[in-house]
Amino acid sequence: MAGLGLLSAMSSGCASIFEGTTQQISVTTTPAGARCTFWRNGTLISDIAATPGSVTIRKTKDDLTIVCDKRGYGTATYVNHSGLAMATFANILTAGLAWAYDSTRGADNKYEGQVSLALPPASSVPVEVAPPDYVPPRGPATTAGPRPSRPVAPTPVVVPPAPAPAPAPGPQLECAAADGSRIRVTGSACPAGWNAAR
Amino acid sequence: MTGRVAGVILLGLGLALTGGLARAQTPPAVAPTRPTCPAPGTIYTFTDSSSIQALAGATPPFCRFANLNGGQQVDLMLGAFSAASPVVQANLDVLTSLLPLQVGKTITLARPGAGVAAIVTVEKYETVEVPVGKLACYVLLWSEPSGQGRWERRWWYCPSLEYAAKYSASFEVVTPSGRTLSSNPASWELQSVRVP
Repeated sequence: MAGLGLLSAMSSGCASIFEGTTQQISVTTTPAGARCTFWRNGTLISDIAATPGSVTIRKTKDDLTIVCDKRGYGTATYVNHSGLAMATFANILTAGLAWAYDSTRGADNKYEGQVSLALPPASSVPVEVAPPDYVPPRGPATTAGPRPSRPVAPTPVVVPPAPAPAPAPGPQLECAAADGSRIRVTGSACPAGWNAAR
Repeated sequence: MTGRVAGVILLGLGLALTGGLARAQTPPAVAPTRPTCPAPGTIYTFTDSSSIQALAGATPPFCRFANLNGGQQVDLMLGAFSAASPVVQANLDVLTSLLPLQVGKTITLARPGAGVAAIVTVEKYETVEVPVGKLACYVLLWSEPSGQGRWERRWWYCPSLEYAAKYSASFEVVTPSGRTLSSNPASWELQSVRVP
């Protein structure tokens, strides 16, 4: 039995898509020190001995399931969707450009690069019945058995996206549009189609 | 007599005002067939610390932007769909059929060689409050199946802004016991607008 708790995940932005056909995935848990296994098509492909940590995996079109557990806590499972990068604004911009270079190498797929999971206390874990060999969401297992790959040493370094340049101070205007919209803008005039409001 | 005339005028003004407020909550009768683009140089900054600057040169229905965090350029339709995306490229005519935007419109996008990639729906028209103010926007829902689960991404595209004022993504999966689990991996809202 395993508690199946999909709790939270954060996008890491766009760095991963430039890594070609492999991708680094960082996992943090609350509390730290959980063991996490990475499954794809029913096959164990990697693991982290203790969070926080990261692994480098090959990107495919198949979803990646991350299962984390720690003694005294429930199991948390996150299905990391393999999809085209449409998730965040940053991803849209960078992925859109990166596709031109990467798609010919089959690198269109990507996963969320940073996953954060909270392990619920064992007493509050909703009980789910899981099969002995956990099967990830996309289809049945296609291999005879687990094929663990060599774990990658944890490197809990996540590079945050570069901060946006701070806009230079300027006059603030209250602007109104015919559809009832009302915004504050920086500049000497309202955008086209908008009128200055009091 | 004069008072009666004044009363009628006031009543008329009141009805006009009421109608005006109501229009703010309902879609325009005729939405533009081709969305216009923000004036080049306009800078939008979002709550996730990203910023973009509008550029000239895109082919409608796309608008060109530069990512001020990284310098890359991208052409986006409705502030959401990248011209460089294979799914968008493969479904350009279908995506264009969303225009003019109308609540309830639904299109199905196919991923080349892989069946249905996503379903896009103009979910509703509503006024959304974000840090920069209140905006009347269409909610575009991108629903994408994934294994036993489904990604739902929503853009609040605001015609008056010519961009999206809000974005959210969530993933839901139904467990073997029928329990629905969800996560909210990404979201942002429009924080500021700088006019050139």
